Amino acid sequence: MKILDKLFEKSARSIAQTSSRRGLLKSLGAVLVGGAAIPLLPVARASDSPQYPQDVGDPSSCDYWRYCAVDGFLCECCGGSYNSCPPGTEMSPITWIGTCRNPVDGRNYVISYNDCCGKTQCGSCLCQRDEGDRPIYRSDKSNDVNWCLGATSSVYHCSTAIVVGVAFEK
Amino acid sequence: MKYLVLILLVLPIFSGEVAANQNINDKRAKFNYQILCQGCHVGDGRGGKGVPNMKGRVGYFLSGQKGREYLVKVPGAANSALDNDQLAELLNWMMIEIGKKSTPADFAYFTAPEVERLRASPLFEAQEYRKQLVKKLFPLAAQ
Repeated sequence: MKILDKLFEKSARSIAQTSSRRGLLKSLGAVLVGGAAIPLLPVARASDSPQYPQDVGDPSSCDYWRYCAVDGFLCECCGGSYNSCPPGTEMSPITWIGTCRNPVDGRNYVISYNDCCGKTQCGSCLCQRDEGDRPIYRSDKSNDVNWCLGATSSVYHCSTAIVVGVAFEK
Repeated sequence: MKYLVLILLVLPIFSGEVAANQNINDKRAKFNYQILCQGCHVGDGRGGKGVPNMKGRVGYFLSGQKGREYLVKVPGAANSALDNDQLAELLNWMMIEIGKKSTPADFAYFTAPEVERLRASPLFEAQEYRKQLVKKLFPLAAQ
C-alpha cells in the first residue's frame, strides 16, 4: 500500500510541478479546435468522390445523358421523375445497370435503370437508345429483360435512370 | 499531456482510413460489383425476390471447402465476363464489404489460380445445389 501511496504522491507532485492550473483548459481547447479543423484539411476531401454529378439537359428528352442505355418509357413523362416512380407504381429493386458519359465533366457514371411496375405501360416518351445493350444470352447486360420480375407485379410502366456511382477508369 | 494531445489530434486521420488490402483495388472491385452483380443482388447485397441475401451472410460459406468452392462455381461468378485476377479480387472485396461479420477476419483470400481451377467446372443447377449445401454446412440454420 505504501508503494501505491508513494507512486500517486509522486505522480501528483510531478504533474503539479510541470503543468499550470489552466494547462488542461488550454490543451482541451487545442484538441477541440484542432479536431474540428481536421475535416477541412485536403486529406479528407481528396477521398470523397462526387456522387452527384453536375447536370445539363432535359430529363424529359430521350437525348438526356443518363438515358444512354434506356429502353422504355421515361418516368419523367409519366408522373414520376428520372429517379422516382409515378404514384401507384412500385420500383423494382432488380435492375439493368450500365454506364453513361456525363457531357459536363466527361466522366462515366454507373446508372441503374430501375423499372416502375404495377400499372399498364405509360405510353409517353418512348426512348430506346440501347448503348451497351447485349443479347439475351448475357441476361445481366440485356435491357430486353422485363426487370419488373423483381417487383410484386411484373407489369411494366416506365423506367428511371438513377446514378449509383462513378465508373472505374482503367 | 503533450503526447496525449498529439495522439488525439492524429487519431481521426487514421480512423477514417479503411484497412485496405494491397491486393484489392477497391474502386475497380466496387465498379465490377455494380456492373455485374448489383442489378440482381442490389447495392448492399441484400437481394430480393428469388435472389439470395448476401448482406452479412455470404461469408458463412467460407466455413467449409464446398461452400468456398460454391462461391466461385455459382453461375454469376463462374460465367462472369471477368478474368481470373479480377474475379478473385471481386470475391475478396465482396467477402469483406458485403459479408461483413459473417466473414472470418483471417479468411484465406481467393487467388487467381484457385478461381481459374474452380470456374472451369461451373454449376448448372445452382439453386438446388445451394439448398443442399446450406443444409449440410448449417444443419441448424432456419433457411
